[in-house]
Amino acid sequence: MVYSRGSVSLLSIVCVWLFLGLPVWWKTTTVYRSTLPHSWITSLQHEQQVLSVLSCNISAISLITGLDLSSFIKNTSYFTIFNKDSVINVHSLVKEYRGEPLSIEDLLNKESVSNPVGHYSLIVTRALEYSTQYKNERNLFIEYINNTQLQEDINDSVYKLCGVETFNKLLNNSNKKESLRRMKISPGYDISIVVISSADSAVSEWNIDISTNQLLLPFLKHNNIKKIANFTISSQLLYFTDVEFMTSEDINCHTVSPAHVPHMISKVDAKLGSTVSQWPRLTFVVYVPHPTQRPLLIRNRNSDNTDSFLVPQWGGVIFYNDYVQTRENDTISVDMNVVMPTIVRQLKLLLGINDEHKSETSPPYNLHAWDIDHLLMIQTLERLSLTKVSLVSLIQLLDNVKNMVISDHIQTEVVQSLNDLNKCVASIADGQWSVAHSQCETALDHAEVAFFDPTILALLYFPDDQKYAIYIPLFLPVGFPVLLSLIKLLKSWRQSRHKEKTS
Amino acid sequence: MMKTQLETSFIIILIILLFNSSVGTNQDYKESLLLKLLPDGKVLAHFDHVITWNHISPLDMTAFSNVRHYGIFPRPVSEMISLYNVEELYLSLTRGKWKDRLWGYPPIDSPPGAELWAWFLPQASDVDEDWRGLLHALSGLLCSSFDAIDSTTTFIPKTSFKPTGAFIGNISSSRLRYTALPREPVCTENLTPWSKLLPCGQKVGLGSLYYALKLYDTNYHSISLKIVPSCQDDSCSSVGTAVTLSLSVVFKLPSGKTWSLSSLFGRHIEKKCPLSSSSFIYFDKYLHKDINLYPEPHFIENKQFLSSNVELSVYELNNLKSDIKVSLKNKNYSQVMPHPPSPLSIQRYLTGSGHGRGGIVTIISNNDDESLKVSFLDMVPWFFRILYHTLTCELTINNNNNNKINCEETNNTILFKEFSPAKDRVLPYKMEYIFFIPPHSSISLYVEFLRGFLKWNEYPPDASLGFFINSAVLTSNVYKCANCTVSTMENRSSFLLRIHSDPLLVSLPIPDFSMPYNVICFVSTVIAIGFGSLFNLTTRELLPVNEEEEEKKGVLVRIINKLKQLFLRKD
Repeated sequence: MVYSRGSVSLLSIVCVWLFLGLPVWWKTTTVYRSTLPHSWITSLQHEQQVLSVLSCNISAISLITGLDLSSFIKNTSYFTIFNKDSVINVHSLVKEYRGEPLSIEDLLNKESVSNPVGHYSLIVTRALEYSTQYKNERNLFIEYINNTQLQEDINDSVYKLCGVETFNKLLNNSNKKESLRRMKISPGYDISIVVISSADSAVSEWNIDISTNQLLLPFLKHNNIKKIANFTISSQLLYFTDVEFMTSEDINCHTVSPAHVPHMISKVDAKLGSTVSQWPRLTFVVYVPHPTQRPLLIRNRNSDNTDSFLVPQWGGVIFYNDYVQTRENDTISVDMNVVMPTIVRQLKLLLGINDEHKSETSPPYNLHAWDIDHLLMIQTLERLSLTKVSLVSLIQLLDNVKNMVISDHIQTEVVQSLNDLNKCVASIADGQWSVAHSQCETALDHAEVAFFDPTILALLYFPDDQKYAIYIPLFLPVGFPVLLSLIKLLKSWRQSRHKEKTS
Repeated sequence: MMKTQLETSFIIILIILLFNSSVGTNQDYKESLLLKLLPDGKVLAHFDHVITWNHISPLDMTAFSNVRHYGIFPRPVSEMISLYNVEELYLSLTRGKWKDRLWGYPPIDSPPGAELWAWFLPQASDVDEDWRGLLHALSGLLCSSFDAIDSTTTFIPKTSFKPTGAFIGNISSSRLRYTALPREPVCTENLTPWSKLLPCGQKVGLGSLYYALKLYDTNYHSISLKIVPSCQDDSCSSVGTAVTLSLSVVFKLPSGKTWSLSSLFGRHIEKKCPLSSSSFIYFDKYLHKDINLYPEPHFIENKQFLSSNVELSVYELNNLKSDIKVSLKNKNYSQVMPHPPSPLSIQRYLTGSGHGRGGIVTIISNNDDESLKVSFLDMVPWFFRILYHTLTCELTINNNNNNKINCEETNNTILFKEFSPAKDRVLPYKMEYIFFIPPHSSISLYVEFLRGFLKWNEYPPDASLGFFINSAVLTSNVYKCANCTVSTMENRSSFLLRIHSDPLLVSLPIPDFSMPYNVICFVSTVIAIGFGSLFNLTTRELLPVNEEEEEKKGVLVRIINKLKQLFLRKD
């Protein structure tokens, strides 16, 4: 077969196109995307959302001679199943001290006083006289009355210590009300106490200083609370805020229906102004109603009247009705000591602390160590799943949108996040929750930094039609004749081959 | 019995102690409104709202623990002070131009657009970082575009903007930052967050007169925020923090001989703000004498302001039962006494034409009978390349044009001068002078500049509007000032007069923004034509036409060929 001059030059042009033009075009127009540990992240997706096994270690100690605890506790080493795929694994260990009757001091000298998170001691005594003293450690005291009672108590205590109820409430998605009320996870919160006066007189007497020092700070400075978050407190007086309620008159009081409450919240929020803090704000509004609207109460659906309500993930509102107007209605005084216990109670609910002792809203706040432990565990698990979610959605996003730039620092952030995540998972498996808590926190931080990096968006809004607008003037007039002659050449080849065959 | 008495008295003492520590005693709020009739039949309304936190200085705010009780002090402001180590701050957002020659000096002079300067505490380790944070906080707080400010629009003046409050440490300009945004539009979105900082908001007190529709339908409008560490006593042993929120507005008077406060503002004051310890309305008749006020002013105050004596009619808001009505006996403003000349004035304009060179002329005149020491600050963005060798300074004595001397040749006209060059995309040009100007004389500064080129993505969306050169700032200490607006909040023996020139609007050469695409299309076409002919040359072969094959072709082709032959024959 003889090649004509034209077909040789055509082929060489096509070759230049393919082997020089195409790679140059490809090289100059590709978006920089550094490689991410793709398979590693996608494997996270298939893992279970909540860690399947939460271990709970209980050592049972009897201070009563002749009482064999192993017969009671053995029965209770069980698996509690909840939320489809998570399980609490209870390891029980019976420690016996035979011989002379032990005093609590001796026992606590022998045993390590401070158990780590997730390890608890169940102590059976005859009298509960010491129990208050060591209440805040991870020890639970049970008073021995008789065997059947003891069995019941031990069952209850294991239930309580391992937080079966708490986990059920807060991790279970079907229980939306509880899980939505809690504040978004954050290393700290700004507590802002706002007195909104709708009365025309100024608040001249306000014992916020003393009240916070006596009632709120002891709660926030509680050893256990400090582990889960930091707090700042600020207070403010606001007047003439446009906050008004549609009230209906009742016997002896004015009532507001819950439907009108959201309007108030948005008005308060608008008035509060911007903050410079990075932490989420918890707002507690102390609303002083107008003298003509006193006493102001909220009417619940089941016709109960109450003077306070909680706003999920935002804060709380308390109506302060019993104020004293002084000096010819000129000024009013607000006694925060009346209000602060409600604020503390609402704060507990917003933080997600299991509030067993509802009455206990004054110091010393006997927060059980295990209640805070459970919160710590939940926070850790939540951070773990949030990290997974943000990493998976990052990789999905980058897979879907091909012209997103992935710079090297995003890669390092993602890898760091994954490393921390693995460490956190390992620590959880070891039962080292305090370590896991901080590891998951850094993992989440890295994941969020990677996800919200502004460089990802650099080329996102570069539309395709602009690309075509630039390519068409060059590629169409150049490529068209080349393609046509290529087709022509192929046709003539086929014809010549056909001729050869027939001849 | 004795014991219970003791107990009760103890409780009483405790309660007293408790109440003393409460908010009522250490925070104070004052407000005032000054109405001043201007010579050309306009009226100035100037509001001052001063919130003072006694015995808590800005330095104390930075040392706040995790527990802070703000009371009525605006929380965002205090948070800003403590987080960014602010010692003193002044911010203004202005719309319209104040006419010095016609109206006298304003209560607070501010250039059109936004202006901001801040002194930082000595403890601030990284002032630039704090400044950046402060700009972001302020743009969020007041809905302004301060966050767009970077090092190219930030200045560190040496001689102007000295601190006015109780200042800690040496005055070193490294702790000062200044910026201005002449382009900034000012409207209700700034007024609303600003008025949220007022303890009584827009509901009661003087704030209830803030009706945006009327306030922005005016000749001049300016809101400002000032944070100053203030002395609590004469010896300044204890320092507090004072936040002053001011609003100045110049109304055109409604037609007719009488007008009232509510016809001016479209609102009326229902009652006094219960939080304010004092709220007064001052009325300055200024040059108008034939004016009746109804109701009668509660008292007349003779305010000693600098060397002059100002007579103010005062209303106490607490006792004001009705709207204030003002009636003019004579509406002919030309009969008003001639306005005293301004002691100090500044004028600035551009020279030159085209898109190449240009010049800036600045004329500073002292119309007073005494010599004045004046500090002058001029700031130019980096893309106007100032040619310092063309800088000339001429002193015109006794306003006689024949009597012109070069400033450098006189002994004591220039007391201080400093020029700092710009750096592309990093630093702006800055010129600072301290002049000593003899009476009835003026100084004219002339400097040439070249218009620089920007990168295509550095142009703003409305590039053809032009680019602003900030207002030049003139500062002087004056001891008498006939046409200053009296300050209702403080008594002063000397007055720090600060005036701004107009900002200059300069057009820069603007590229054709569609040019890159045009170039791409043009080049592509050239390449396509070149490639096409080359391609044809190399791939096509020219062969003689075979007559027999022509016969085989269709009827249409033959007809066309016949027609071709027909035309060819004619040639």
